[in-house]
Amino acid sequence: MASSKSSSEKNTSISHSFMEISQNYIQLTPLHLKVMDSYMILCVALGVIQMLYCILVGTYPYNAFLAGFGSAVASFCLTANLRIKSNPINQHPGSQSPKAVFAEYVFCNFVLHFIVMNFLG
Amino acid sequence: MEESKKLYLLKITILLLISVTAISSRLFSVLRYESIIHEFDPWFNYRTTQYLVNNGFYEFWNWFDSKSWYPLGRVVGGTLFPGIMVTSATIYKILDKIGLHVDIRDVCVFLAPVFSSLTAIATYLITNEVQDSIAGLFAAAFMGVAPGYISRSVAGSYDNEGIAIFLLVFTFYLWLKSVRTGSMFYSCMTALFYFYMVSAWGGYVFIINMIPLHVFTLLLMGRYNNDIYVSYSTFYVIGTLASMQIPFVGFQPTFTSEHMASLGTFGLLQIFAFANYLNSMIPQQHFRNIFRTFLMAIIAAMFMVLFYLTSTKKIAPWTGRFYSLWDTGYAKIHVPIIASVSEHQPTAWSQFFMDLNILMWLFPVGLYFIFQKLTDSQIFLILYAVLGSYFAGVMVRLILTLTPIVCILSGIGASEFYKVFLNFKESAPKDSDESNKKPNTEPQQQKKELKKKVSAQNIKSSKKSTKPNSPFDPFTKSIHLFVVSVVTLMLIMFQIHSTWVTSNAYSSPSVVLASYDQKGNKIIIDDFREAYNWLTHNTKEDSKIMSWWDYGYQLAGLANRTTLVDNNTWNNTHIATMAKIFAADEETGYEIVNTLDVDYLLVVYGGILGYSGDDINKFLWMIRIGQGVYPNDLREEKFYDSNGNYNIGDNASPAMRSSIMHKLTYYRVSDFVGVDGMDRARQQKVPSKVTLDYFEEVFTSSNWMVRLYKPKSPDILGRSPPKSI
Amino acid sequence: MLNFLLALFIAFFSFSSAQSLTGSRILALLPETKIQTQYSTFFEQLKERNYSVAIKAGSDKSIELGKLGENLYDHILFLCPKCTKYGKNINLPSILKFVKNGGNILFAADSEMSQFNYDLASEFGVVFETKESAVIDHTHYYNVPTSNSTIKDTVIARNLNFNKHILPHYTDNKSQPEIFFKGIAHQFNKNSYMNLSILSGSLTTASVFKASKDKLSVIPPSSQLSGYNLNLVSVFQTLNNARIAFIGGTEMLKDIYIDIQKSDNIYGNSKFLKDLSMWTFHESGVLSHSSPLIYKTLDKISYESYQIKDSITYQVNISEYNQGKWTSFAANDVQLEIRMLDPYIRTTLDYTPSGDLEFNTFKKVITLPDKYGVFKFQIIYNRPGLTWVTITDTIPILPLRHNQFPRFLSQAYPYYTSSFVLLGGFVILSALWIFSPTFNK
Repeated sequence: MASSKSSSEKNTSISHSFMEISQNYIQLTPLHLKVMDSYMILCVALGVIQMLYCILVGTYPYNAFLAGFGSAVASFCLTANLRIKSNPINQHPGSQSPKAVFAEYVFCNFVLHFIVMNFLG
Repeated sequence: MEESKKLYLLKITILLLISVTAISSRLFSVLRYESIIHEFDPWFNYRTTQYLVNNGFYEFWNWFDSKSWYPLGRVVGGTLFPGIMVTSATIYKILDKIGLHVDIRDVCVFLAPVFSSLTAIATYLITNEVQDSIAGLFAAAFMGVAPGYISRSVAGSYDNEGIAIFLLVFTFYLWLKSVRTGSMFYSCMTALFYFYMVSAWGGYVFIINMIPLHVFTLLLMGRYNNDIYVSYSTFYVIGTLASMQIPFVGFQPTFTSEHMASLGTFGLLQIFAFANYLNSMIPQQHFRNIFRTFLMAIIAAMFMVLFYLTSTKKIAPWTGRFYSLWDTGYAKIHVPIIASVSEHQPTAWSQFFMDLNILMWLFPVGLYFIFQKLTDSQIFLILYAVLGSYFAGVMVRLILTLTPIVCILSGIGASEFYKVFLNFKESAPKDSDESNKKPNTEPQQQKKELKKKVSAQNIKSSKKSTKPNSPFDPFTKSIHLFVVSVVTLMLIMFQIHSTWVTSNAYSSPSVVLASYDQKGNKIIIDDFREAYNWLTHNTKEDSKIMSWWDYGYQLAGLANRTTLVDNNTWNNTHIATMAKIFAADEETGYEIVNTLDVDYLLVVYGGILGYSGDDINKFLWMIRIGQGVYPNDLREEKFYDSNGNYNIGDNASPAMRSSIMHKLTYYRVSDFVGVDGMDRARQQKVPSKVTLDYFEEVFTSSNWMVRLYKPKSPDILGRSPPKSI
Repeated sequence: MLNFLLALFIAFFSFSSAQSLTGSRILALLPETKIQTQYSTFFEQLKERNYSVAIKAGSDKSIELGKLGENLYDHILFLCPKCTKYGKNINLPSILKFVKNGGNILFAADSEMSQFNYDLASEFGVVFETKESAVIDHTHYYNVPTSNSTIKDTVIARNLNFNKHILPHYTDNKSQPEIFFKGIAHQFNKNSYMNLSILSGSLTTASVFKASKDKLSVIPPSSQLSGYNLNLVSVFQTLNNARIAFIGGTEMLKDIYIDIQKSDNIYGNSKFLKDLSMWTFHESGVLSHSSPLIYKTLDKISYESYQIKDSITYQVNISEYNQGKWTSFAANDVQLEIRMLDPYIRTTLDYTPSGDLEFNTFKKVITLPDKYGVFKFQIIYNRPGLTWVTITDTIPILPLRHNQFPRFLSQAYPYYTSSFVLLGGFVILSALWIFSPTFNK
């Protein structure tokens, strides 16, 4: 309340910041990272949908919910890991090669989906 | 090149020797007694392993044991940690496949020693990861013989802890490795070993709180980086999903408070990562604005969710066992069944010294060196040290989780110590060689100790030779020599102490006891097995044996009879009913005994031998447990005499004297020890006359330790108390 | 229980001459053997039913009840109230042992009775009135012509227990009862379900002291037994189904009392003694049952254990031994209880009349409780006049197996879909990574 002016200023700066972020994102991000981002957005969307569905319908097949929701979260995280690791910005001499990172990613996903399939039914 | 190869070979040899020592020092019990399963819980593990081997995994998973907790039964598959059974069954199957036909009992007996050698190697790995290989070898050597760990892993001690400590250390090793390298693979492996740990021991909760705490601390210290995000998020999602596959754990990770810390940290980490990402996208100033708003909104939302969940009881309150970790008096008041177990008592100082000995002061030394350079891994060790010490102080049995970190830090301490004081420059090799030769004649265990020193020197000399020499006067030299020999002496003392403790304190199977007569000859007291054998051969197969819960697993495993309660203690009411029976007078007790279809009652009496762990000494706990459920029928005060003492015999309170426990224990005892005879476990006079109307004695073991009674069959003429015709 | 049934049947066929299920050897103990003529009608009755009656004097030193743990007789008639001891070594424990082995006893008391007999009766919770007391009734009495006593101590008792298993001829014909009784009254020292009064006094009946043979004392007996509380005849059944009948006076068994009432329309001493002795000697009111058959209703197979909410069928055959032959037993109150600490199911079993068969099948289809544990399936059928029946089976009820829970639920489809979409996404992503040049640089 003390400074409504500053808060409005802040608002504009926030919207300004968002503009800047989206511009930066579109310009600077390589295509393969964008693909990964879209997959991550898919994960988030599926997770949110399942959460809402669970709240609406009830937690009865709780294991199935946990498996579905968990796989969404886990896929998100694993892909985020892959994205971080394969982002050219984060590459420096000591870090793993993208090929090794990808192999690890595949390994983790195998483990993950094996567990999820086991948990679903 | 040549030098480093030699060094490598030396390390391998030392590790091998440590493994051999770790295993062989745990074999005292087998040599002294026989290849037998120890104590109480291991008997259950053994019985379930047998079931698993004989019936296969699916039957094991669905096993409903109608022979325990009569008449409730126990869903065994869903109420145990199957890790140890599956492990030994797998080993058994593999050995069988390759043509080594061993008894499953031997696999079970020797599982813990074998895993303890793996623990020593895991300790080496983790110390090597944090510090260097010299410290690692020291740590591994300590781990191999530390009595605090040996207490739970001697041959025959077939319990969850036997493999769990290895898993604990190894999981932590993988975690540190994954944090350092930021590799998804290692954190996935961490998650898998965490899963193994979850399947093996309830102590997995320690891991799932320790790792988030580490991450959280790193965040607070501003040490966030992408590697932490990668390793923790991978570990958490896979580990949590995997842990829910264990039926006993089930959905707990989603609603118990013990697991909430890891979830919260996970959420926090996501925010950090996102913020970090944004940070990389836009200039500082804008980022701050956004971040602040964003963070505040998130924190507010989280608090609201947490408040909502706890107020609607969606998140289960903390379990009693957990509360007792914070307030040592809690259990005594609220959950006597937890407090009644000796291993849940707060730890005495002497216990620390007995279990850790010299490591108690090497531990802070190591801690000091750790503080010298704070890396992510060092921080982890510090956190572990702090938490481990606290928990070990609260509960005796948690010394077990403290032992690995004590060994690791002591290893670091010792190695740093030697690095400083073995620095003799040119003259160094000669002196240390001297000090090495003397103790070489000592037993093999100490040899290993020395080997380590040799390796330490080797490294030292190879490293230090490149540095410029500084003058080294004889006085300093002799001080160095003195300190080194004192420390070496102490380490040797530690070895001797460990061996002594292992052989004297931790190698008793407790099913079989040993005592010494006046001439010092060992006498084996085998009353328990005598009684269990009697039951096997003289009672019907579906007989129900009532005893205090301590003996439930042994009765099931050794006598193969149905029990009413056992060491699983999952149903407090049923245990309280047993307490009620034991504390009741004969008429009341007889009635309850009949409704429960009890065929035999078993009491343990140590008054003849002076064995203090008998039922009369546990009786007060029974009353307390019973009182929690039946406050109207049982009152603790009634069992104290007029002076407020817990007495037995003729001076005892009327309730005590008429209680079934007192009667069954002392029935006919005065005939044996005489009217003025003493109860050697309590140093009090035995009651002069004990009458028994509703029960009849059927068996008493040779040292009167185990006594079996039978409720009299109902009188055909309907008289009460029943008379035999 | 099956063995018991088998033994019963063997006994039934091998002793087909005797009607009793437990045997035909009777030992009658009299003060002197020569007074057996006074009981000729009663003994004749027994012999007609193929009993072999050994009549001995109570003081006979050669009497033995058992040898090497086996009873030498199947039933004993104690008709010697004055006997201070029986045989040489017969004491209370040996008599109780006889009962424990399944022997039945018919015990007659009298106004003058020895302490031994008092003690014997009290073992079964029966307390006879003090010595010299007698039961009188000023309204319902009978003047025995041969006697010149003025005391109205021959009572005409009509207050019979209406139990069709014990007194079938009374309950079936609804004939007028008229039992002539002379002797001493008794009561039960505790309220036990094992004691059962058969013949008791009426409102005008009382127990008094006799001053002499034909004169009443003015002192009332201490307990003042009177009216319906005053038992003249009662029975006791032990937990192992041995039966003991207590009769307050020997007179009512004698020819002279039996002969008073000869009319067929009236239920007199003769018919009463026949019913009572038949019941006491296991010729009536004995139940026998098969071992129960418990099977899954679905596939009609018996298993060692069942699962929660299974539908099972419980069935058991019960027959009754009634007046010397096996008949089908009919009752609507046979209750099955399924309990684990507490009863979870209590239900009466239904039967369908079987017609000519010797048994009825009691049956019920039951849905097991939704609770696992070791359950006791128990029928406790204790009815006065019948042998005690307890049928117990202990059967574990198991929880569902891991693969028996419902799977592929419709409400879980979104979760399944999501998981597979993510799996597909992963495959596509991987494929892109491997094959697309953008990724694979």
